Amino acid sequence: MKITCRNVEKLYALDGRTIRALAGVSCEMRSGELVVVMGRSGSGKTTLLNAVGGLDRPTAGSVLVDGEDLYASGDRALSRYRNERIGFVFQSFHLSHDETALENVLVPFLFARRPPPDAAERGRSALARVDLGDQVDQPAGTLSAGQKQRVAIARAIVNEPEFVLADEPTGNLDESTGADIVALLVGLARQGLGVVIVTHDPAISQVADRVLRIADGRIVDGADGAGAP
Amino acid sequence: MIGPVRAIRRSFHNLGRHRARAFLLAGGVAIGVAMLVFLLAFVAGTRRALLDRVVSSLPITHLTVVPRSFSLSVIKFDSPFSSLDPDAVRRIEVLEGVERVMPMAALKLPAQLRARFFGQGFVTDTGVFGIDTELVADQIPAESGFGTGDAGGVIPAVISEDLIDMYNTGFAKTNDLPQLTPEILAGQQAMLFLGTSSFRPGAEERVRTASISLIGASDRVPLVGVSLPREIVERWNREMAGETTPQYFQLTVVAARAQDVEDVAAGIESMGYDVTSGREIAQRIRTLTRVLQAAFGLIGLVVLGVAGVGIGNALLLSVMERRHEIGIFRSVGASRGDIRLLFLFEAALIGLGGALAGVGLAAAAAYAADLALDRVLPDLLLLPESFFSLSWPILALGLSLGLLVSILAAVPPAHRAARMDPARILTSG
Repeated sequence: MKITCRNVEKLYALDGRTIRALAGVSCEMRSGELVVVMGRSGSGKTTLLNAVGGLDRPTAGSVLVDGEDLYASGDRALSRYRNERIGFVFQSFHLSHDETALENVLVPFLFARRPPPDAAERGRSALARVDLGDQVDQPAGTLSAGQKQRVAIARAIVNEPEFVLADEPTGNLDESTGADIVALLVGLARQGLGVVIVTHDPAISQVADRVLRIADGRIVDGADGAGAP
Repeated sequence: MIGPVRAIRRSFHNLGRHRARAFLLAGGVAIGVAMLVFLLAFVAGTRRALLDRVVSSLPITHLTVVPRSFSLSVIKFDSPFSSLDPDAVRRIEVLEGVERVMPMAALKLPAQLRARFFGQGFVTDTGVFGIDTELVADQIPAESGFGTGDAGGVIPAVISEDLIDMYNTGFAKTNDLPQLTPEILAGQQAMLFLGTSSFRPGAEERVRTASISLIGASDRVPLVGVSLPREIVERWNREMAGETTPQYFQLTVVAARAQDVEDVAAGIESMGYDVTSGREIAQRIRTLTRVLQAAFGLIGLVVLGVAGVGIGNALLLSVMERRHEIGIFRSVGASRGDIRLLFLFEAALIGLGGALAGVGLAAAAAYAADLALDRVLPDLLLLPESFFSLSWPILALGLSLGLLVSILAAVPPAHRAARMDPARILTSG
């Protein structure tokens, strides 16, 4: 799978002002590649990630997935794209604390076109892949921060997506736990998944196949593919 | 796409997670539905009881005919051109659609009733009325011999059911007397003193006596007095009051078929009489109870509406509280429609649960009210079995309104949840 951004622009209205979060970004990402997107806060990293993940429609430009314009289709097709081909990991984990680790991991199947009959088994297997095979029935609220992020990664991969998009996945973790999480994501990339990590932590860039540097909504370094500046 | 089965399952799951709020909201719906169902069932039950009474005292094919009267303020006059006599009876009998005419005569003399009840002497002035056997044939024992005259010396007599009720609820209580039923009264003998009363004592030599025996009670006979076979009263009027032509105070006209009632009524009215039909009374009862039903229904709807506003506000709050969950659902593949569906199903389940509880609550309240009324009004012969009619249409109305109000109340919050921008939610921390 190849995701290509072509002159992607994103404008926001904030307190009556127009904010240009992305100002004509062009780049390319492929399965099996670990791309780290770096930049200061407010540089547009997360906006780019959300645009690539089918979560935030660009104001202008296009996001091509294997050559097809992602945003040419409607809400239902975009939802299917996120459900079947993308897995998201967030800085704040966004787990339901009163539900078990397994229940959190199985949420994507709730919206699958055809949930697999062995969904629970797949959930357990995803938790085992992130070394939480023994925490399956633990309420998410009782887990440590590192374990919560692992549950979030398990939720991202349970549907066997082609890309995992991680937004500041180590932002709420201590250095050692953060390193474990990065190692997990690197492992996923080595297994053939496309992994995009948005971070402002320079240490993570050490493990990247490619680093995209973004400033003021523009890619200043590392772009690849169509129309790179 | 989530689909209805998974949406219901997930909605159940979510309601379980937010149990307290779900119970509170369902409670609001339950109270609204309970009030609506209770009030509607009460009106329907009362209507049924009243209609049963009307149909019993004046069946649908029966018409009551009285001389035309005029009212001047509180004074009522009978028209002098509207007397009911055998000639009038004959003219009505030949009208198309008339099956039978049953006149009612009143004794033209004062009368007094003397009897012994429960070992005590009992004297009262009374009205004496003459009725046709057919009028009460279905309400008195067939072997009673009513209408066969006074050959045996004892005249069969019928009294009003309402009179027994009045005695039980008033006279018996104030005088510490036992309660009466038609069964207790059956066979009770009494003496009628004709030509005398406490207001107009008659000369002893002109007072005539007759022995009567109560054979039953009816809701079709005049209230204050005893009703005897008409021929006897007519004979007494002829012999003692010098009446040459019988005069009746009321006729009961039986139409051949229910659909003839209106034509027959119109025909009799054109002859100068006032006519009341069971259908007319039933229609009045229906109109009145419809108005009551609409008013009570409105009260129930207002309560349900308030519950709906509560659900809407609570769900709106829930949408804000669960925005991260909504964001995550969107990020893992939920469409806007899926989010909308989830909130609507949650509201529907709350509404359904609340409505079912409300119907149960209404049934329990109706049962309790019936018990209470039965305790307060134990002596009324005509007390209906229940003052409530929890019919399927009322139950279905309660259930569907509870459900509908909940779903409608959830539309704005569900729409708001569906329109939320997941990118903003998930990056807001």
